[in-house]
Amino acid sequence: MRRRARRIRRAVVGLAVALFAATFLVVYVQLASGHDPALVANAAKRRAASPSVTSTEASAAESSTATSTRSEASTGSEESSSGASAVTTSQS
Amino acid sequence: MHANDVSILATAVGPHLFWITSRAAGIAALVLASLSVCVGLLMGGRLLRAHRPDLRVAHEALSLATLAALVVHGLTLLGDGYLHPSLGDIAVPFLSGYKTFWTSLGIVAFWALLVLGLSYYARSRIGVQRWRKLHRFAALAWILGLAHSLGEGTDAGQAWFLAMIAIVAVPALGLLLARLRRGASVSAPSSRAADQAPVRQPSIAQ
Amino acid sequence: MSGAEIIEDFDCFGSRCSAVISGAGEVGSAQDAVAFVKRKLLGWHTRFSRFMADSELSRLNRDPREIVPVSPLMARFAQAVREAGSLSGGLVDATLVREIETAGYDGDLRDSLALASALALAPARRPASAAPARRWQQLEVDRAAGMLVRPAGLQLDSGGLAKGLFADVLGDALATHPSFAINCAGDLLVGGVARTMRPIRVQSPFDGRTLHTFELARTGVATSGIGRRSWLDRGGAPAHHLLDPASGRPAFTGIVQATALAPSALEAEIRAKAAVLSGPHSAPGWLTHGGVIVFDDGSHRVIGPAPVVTLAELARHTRPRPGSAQTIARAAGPAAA
Repeated sequence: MRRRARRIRRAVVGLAVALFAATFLVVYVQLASGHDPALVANAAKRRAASPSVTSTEASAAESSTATSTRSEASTGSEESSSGASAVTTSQS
Repeated sequence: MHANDVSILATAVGPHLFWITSRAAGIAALVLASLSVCVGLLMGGRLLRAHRPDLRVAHEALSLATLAALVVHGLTLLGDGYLHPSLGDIAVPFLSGYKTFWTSLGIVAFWALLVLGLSYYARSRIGVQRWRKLHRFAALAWILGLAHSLGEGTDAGQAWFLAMIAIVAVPALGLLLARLRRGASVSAPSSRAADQAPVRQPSIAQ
Repeated sequence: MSGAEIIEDFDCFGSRCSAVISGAGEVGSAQDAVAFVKRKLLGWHTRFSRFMADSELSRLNRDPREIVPVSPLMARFAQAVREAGSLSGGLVDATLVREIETAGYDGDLRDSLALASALALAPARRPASAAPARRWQQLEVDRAAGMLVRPAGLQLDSGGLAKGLFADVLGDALATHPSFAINCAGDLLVGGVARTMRPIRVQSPFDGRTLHTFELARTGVATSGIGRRSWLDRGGAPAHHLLDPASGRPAFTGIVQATALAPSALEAEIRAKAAVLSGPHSAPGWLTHGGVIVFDDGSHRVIGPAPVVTLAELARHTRPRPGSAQTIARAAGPAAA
C-alpha cells in the first residue's frame, strides 16, 4: 500500500510538471513567434455596416485570417464597442 | 526572415518569462484542480469503492499539486516587469479599483482552496464532520477558479486551452451535478463512513 | 471599470501629441496623468530638439569631448540609437545629422511638394542600405556612470527614435491605469490594466483616408514614410528627410509609408523605418508583429501574423470578448528620465 501510494504521488508530480512544461512551451512559442492572439488581434467587425473597399494586395500566404481592410473617411474621435477612443498613427 | 528579428524576438520574450510562467502555472493548476475534484467526487460515490485508498492518495496529491501551482501562479506575477503588481494586488481581492472582477474571483478561489484543503491536516481539531461539511465548498472554489480563467485568462479564447480544460472540467462538472442530485434525494449521511478518521466499530465476535 | 476618458492633445515635436487616459492609477487621477504626460513631453521636446541651439541634444552634439556626462534619458536615447543600428543592420541610422541638414538646406525653395508630384519626379527606386561608416557602432553608453563615449563630431538625430522612446517611458509610468494611449507625434503606445481594445487607424499619406484600423489592447505602433514633408532641392530633385544611409540622400525605395506594430513603440519605430528603407521586397520581413505597407502607386498591404498551427488559426476565429484579458509582450523598458 505504501509503495502504491508513493507511486501515485510520483505520478501526480510527474503529471503536474509535464502539464506545466507543455503549457509553458506552447505559450512561449506563441508569444515568441508573435502569434499570440493577444499580441495582434484584428477584431471582428462589430461596428455597424460601413462600406468596405478592399484595395489591398494581400497574398494568400501572408494575409492573416482576421485581416480586413476598410476605407472610410476618417471622422473625428470615434469610439469602439469597448468605449475606447480611436487613435491615429501618422508619420512622425 | 532577418537574423536580427530573432534577437528582437528573444529580447521581446525575455522580460516576460515571469508572465509566461504564471500563465502556464495557472493553466496547470486548473487542470490539476479539475482532476482533483473528479477524484474527490469519485471517492464519495459508489463507483470505485474498492479503490478508495488509492483515490484518497491521488486526491491529496492532486490537491497539494494544485495549491503549489497556484502559489507559483500568483508569486511569479510579482516578477512581471510589465504589470508589476504588489503583494496586496495578488493576495487581496477587490483591493484596488482598477483590478478586474475576475482577478478577485481567482484570489478568493485560491484562499478558499487553501483553507478548505489544508484544514484536512487539522480535522481532528475542527471536528471531522464539520470539516467534511466545509470541504464540500472546495468544489465551489474550483468553479470560481474556472470562472476566473475563462473570464480573465489570456488564453481563454485559444482552442488548445478550451480543449484541455474541457477534457477535465466537463467530467468534473458532470460528477458534481450527479452528486448534487444524489445529495438532494438522499439526506442521511450514514453511508459516508469510509472517509472518517478511523473509528473502530466495536465488534461483538472477536 | 475604466472611468470616462480624458483626452488632451497639444503641439509638440513639430507635430501633434496626445494623451488618452481613463481611470486612476499610480500617477494619480486620469486628469493628473494627462497633465503629467503633457508636462513630460513638452519638457523632453525642449531637451531633445535638434532645432534649439541650447537643447541638451544640441549641446551634446557640439561637445568636443569624447567622454561626455549625460542624463539618464539621454543615455537611454543614445543606447536606442545603437540598438536601432544593430537591429536594423544599419538601415536605421540616427547619426546622419549632417546629411539631413545638407538635404534640407539644399534649396531655399522649400515649398511643400505633394507626395504624388514628388514621386513622379523621383529617381529610380532602389532599396536603401547601411552606411559603410556605421557610425552608430562607435557609440558607447555607460548608463550606470551616466557617460557617453563617442568620437567628437558624431551627432545624434532625435527624430523618430526619441518619440518612440518617450512613448515607452510614459507607458511605463501609466501601466497601472486601466487604459491609456500615448500619441507622440504619430508614434503610439497603447496599454492599460483593463486591456480595453482600442481602434488604431492607419492613414494614407496620399489623401489621409483611413486604410486600415487595428483593434488592440496593448501595442506600440509607429509609422514612417516619405509623405509628410517633401520639397524640391536646388537641383529640382524631390527631397525629404528619410535618408538612405549609404548615399546620405533621400531614399526612394518604392514604399512611401510603413506602419509597424511591435511590443514597444521604440521597436515599432525601428521596424517601420527599416520596412520603408528596405523596399517592397524585404519590407514585410520587418513587420513581424504586423503592420501596413503603402506603395508608390497608392496600393497598400496589411500584414498580420501568419497562421502558425491550425489550432491557433482556429482560435483566432473565436471572437475575443471586449475586456477579456489580453496582454502583450514588450521589449525591455527604458529608464525613467
